[in-house]
Parts: sequence; structure tokens; C-alpha cells
Amino acid sequence: MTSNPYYSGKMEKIVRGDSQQIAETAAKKKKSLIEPGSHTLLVYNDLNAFREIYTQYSRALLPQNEIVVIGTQYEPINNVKNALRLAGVGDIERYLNEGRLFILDAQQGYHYADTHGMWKFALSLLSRAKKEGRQGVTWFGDAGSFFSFEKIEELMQYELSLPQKYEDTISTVCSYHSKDFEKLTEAQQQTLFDHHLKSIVVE
Amino acid sequence: MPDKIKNNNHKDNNNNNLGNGFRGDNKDKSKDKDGPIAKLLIVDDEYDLVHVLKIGLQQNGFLVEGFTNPEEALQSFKSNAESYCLLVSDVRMPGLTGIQLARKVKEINPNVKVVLMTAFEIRDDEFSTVFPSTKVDGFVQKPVGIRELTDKVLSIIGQSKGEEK
Repeated sequence: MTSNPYYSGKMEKIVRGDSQQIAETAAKKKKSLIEPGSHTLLVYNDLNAFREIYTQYSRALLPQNEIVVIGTQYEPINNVKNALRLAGVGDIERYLNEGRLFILDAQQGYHYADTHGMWKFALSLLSRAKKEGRQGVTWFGDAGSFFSFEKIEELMQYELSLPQKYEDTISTVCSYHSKDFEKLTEAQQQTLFDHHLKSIVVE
Repeated sequence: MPDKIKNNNHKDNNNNNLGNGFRGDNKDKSKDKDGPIAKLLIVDDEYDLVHVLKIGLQQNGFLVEGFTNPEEALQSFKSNAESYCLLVSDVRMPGLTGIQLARKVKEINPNVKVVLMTAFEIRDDEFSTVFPSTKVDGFVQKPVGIRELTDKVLSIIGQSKGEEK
């Protein structure tokens, strides 16, 4: 991460820390950085950091009857499964079979149908979560494919189409590798920081 | 973790039997008396993979530069673009993807061939519709073995030599 703070506006909305500090908040329900019903921005500085955060949150949320979705861009699906296993996330296959854990190729989700394909899927999961008496849905989606396909305008439109706070028990964590995020203009970065309820920057 | 995988200084040897793909010993054949087959640029954000591929391809007679940072790989390429024959790159890398790197490399030296590697499903239309002007000469599915990659590289270089004739 460069010394560029990305943003000089409402700093209280931006939480900064190393990946371990951020991942540790997963187990502290009242201090969790990913609030239920929030649209959160996560800028991670390397894949290990992202891995640490999504695994620790999955480890905390899955036993609480939450549905967890991980949309991966830079790590193959099997690597994500292995990372979850190594982090002690219980019986991965059972969670997958029961439809409580989903590991998806984010690029397919965002680009092979329509940009809102992932979001529609999230809403269908939310509906199912309610029927099954689940706590809610937490969604980690890597936005890297928008940069691969050079579709920044679509990315901005997609982000801005989602509210800051949901009226339902769905939480989305829009995740950006810092090398991708730094490709956005300062104005675009600022727009994204402003639009999300909270932003987490891994340093 | 270093972004550039440094060359190993293996001893020279005289075995120049390159026709059978992977030769199974651990000597660097890139310094054979007839010189390396070709110079390759390998880029992947996984350090271990670059390391293994680099050593394997060197053993099979190629001169190899390996990078985990695509931006640094591009800088290296710019400094000596004519010396490279082929780029082997991962597709999905943050900051600069394999296809974006390929496009930049081909802008500098259109003769350079490109092989892209991915651990994800390979869709022919994935990039051709988005980047129609960037020609990719081959794809390989990860995990990829040294023999398979060597065969792929040799076949593409062979086609290239054929085209030159």
C-alpha cells in the first residue's frame, strides 16, 4: 500500500489496520467490522490479507447459522476451500452441501451473465435464508474482474446501485486488491469510500 | 518475497538433446554449447510456481526470466524486448492481468508469442470479445507440468519458425 491515504474526507468511516487486527474482529460480535446489513468496502494489500479476513469471518459466521458467499477472482476455488480448511472452518463439504457456504468465480458471476447476476443470486439466498431460519447472508465479492475487463464505468454503476445499508440481514463486502483500487481515479476512490457504510483498508 | 526470481548459476553441460521435451535431470540446459533454445518471460503472482517453472524450463534448454510482479516484468521486457521470444503469463493478476501484459508486450514487440495460464475455466470468448486485437498463441490449464508447458512452448516456437520460412 502506498502512503496515499486514498481519501481525505470522512475519515471516521475508514478503518485501517493490518489483516490480523481486522480478521480478529470477526470473533467479536459487537466489534465486528462487518455489520449486519451493511455495504462494506474492503481494500486489501495482498492475497494473504484477504484470505485471512474471509477465512476468519467465515469461521465466525458459519457456526452462527449465517450463509457465507465468497466470490473469488485471484484464487482458484479449490485454494479458497483449502484456505478455509486450514483456518479451521469446520466441515467445509457439509457447509457446501447444505448450501450454507458458496465459493464462486467472481468473474463468471459479474461478467458472464449480467453485472447484477451476483446480486440477484445474493437476494435469492437471502430469501432462502429467511425461509430456513438462518441468521442472514454475508457476501465477500472480489471486484478484480471489472479491472481485468477494463469496465470501470460498469463497476461504478454497480456499486452505486447498491445502498449503503440494507433493510435486510444481508452484508456485502466489496473487496479490492490495492493494485486494482489504485487504478481508480481519486474521484472514483472517493465516491466509493463515500458510498459504502464503512471502509476497511488493510495496510 | 522477491518480485524477480533470480537466475540459478548452474554449471554448463554439453547435453543438447532437446527433441524429447522434458529430459528428467536437474541440469540447466540453457547454457549448452549451442546456446538456449529461446528466451522466455514467465510471470505469475505465485512465487513458488514461477520458481518451479523457471527451473524446469531452464533444465529443458530455455533462458528464462521470472517475475511475480507483472509491472516489473514489463519493465524488464521494455529494456530488452528483442531478446524475448515468448511470454508465459498467468491470466488473473491484480494490477495488470496477463492479457493486459500480453497486449503491452505485443505493442512493443509484435513478434513475441504469448501463452496464458489459468487455474480457472478457459473460455475462448473470454478475452477475444473484450480485447479482439490481442492475439494469444496458446492457453494452458493450471496446474501445469513442465513437460506440458515445454511441449506447448516448443510447438508455438516451432510454428513461429515455420511462419518465418
